[in-house]
Amino acid sequence: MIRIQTSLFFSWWCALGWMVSSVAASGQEAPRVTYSLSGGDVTYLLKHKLHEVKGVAALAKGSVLEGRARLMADQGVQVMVRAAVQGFDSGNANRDQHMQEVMEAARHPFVTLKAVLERVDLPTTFPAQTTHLLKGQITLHGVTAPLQTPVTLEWQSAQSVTLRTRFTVSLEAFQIERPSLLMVKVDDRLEITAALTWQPMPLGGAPR
Amino acid sequence: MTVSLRLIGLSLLLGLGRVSLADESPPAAPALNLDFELLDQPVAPGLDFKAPLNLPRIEQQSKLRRKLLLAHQILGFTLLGSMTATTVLGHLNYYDQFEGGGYTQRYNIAHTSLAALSSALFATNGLLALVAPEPYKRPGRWDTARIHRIAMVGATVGMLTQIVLGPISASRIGYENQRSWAQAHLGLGYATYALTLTGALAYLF
Repeated sequence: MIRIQTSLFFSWWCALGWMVSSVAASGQEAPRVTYSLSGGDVTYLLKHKLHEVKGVAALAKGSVLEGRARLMADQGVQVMVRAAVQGFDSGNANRDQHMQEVMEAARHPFVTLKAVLERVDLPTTFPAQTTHLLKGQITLHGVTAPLQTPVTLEWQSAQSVTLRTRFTVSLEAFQIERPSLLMVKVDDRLEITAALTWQPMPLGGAPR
Repeated sequence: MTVSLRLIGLSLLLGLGRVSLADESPPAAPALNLDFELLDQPVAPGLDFKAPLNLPRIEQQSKLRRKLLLAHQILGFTLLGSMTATTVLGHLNYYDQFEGGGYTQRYNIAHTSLAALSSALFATNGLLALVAPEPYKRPGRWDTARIHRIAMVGATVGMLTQIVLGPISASRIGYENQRSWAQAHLGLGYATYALTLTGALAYLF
């Protein structure tokens, strides 16, 4: 009986010791604030010898653009943005159709960005502007590749911030067939520009 | 009791030791943790994932459309070249017959042959565009694609009229109104060519 009591007591203290060390070592903390996309757009720019093609996916057009950002207790930010391929509008119906064909929009309907920002401190005065490095991955045409790009956060207030960034990707790296006109293919470089405005979500709207 | 205290102390030391060991070793670069999902399962606009997509059919139609429109592009510029030559020869033919060119008839056969070739190219090219499938539909709007279509519809009306007007004009040899028919044929020829050129340029931009 004494042996059982001793072993139980020992087990309990071991478990306590490991729990304390685990919490101290991992540093995991619950998220503080979740932001959702309230405005803005994502634009692609494709260059051909004859002209440039610019396509815009704007939040104002409905559910073509979605985004959430989560500010963690350690001041890091998790970001996820998703744009429907069909939602990009270049102003030319034929070009948009061709873009959807080369992007295989039926099979890969979305472009998704998932990334983190390290150490985002809320400014004390507004308006304010801060720069950070976005590190994550982008999924385009079913291919996922790492992405690292500088971003600028323009703080209109504590309740509204606009994220701006610009980066280029290679069409061939994402296995996208380069369209051609007059037998001349477009440039391999696809420039993506994002200007996204975020606002805190009401309580109860936090994602999993 | 002494044994119990020793065991408690040992377990605590083991637990704290895990923290202390982590503090002593040089900090490794933190791995990027992207194991999170902030958005719900997507439903694409226009593509209802609740109903199964016929992906093989869509992809087959896309490939066919690409081939047909590539042929349309190549044939279109060939047509433009042919129509340019037809129009130039038509004007030379009119000059030869009605503007003091000597009425040699030396441009007649070339103009007629090129007109026939242009008509065949025009019809074939139009068919290529009409039969090309559209797996990804887009709502109609005022853009260069619409200008291209409107211009080509106008050019089609012009071509059909020219096919009738040309032979009528040629058959009026000796009649007083042959010149009038020839002028109408010439004018409509230029208009048809201009519409075709507009359609081609709109496509480029």
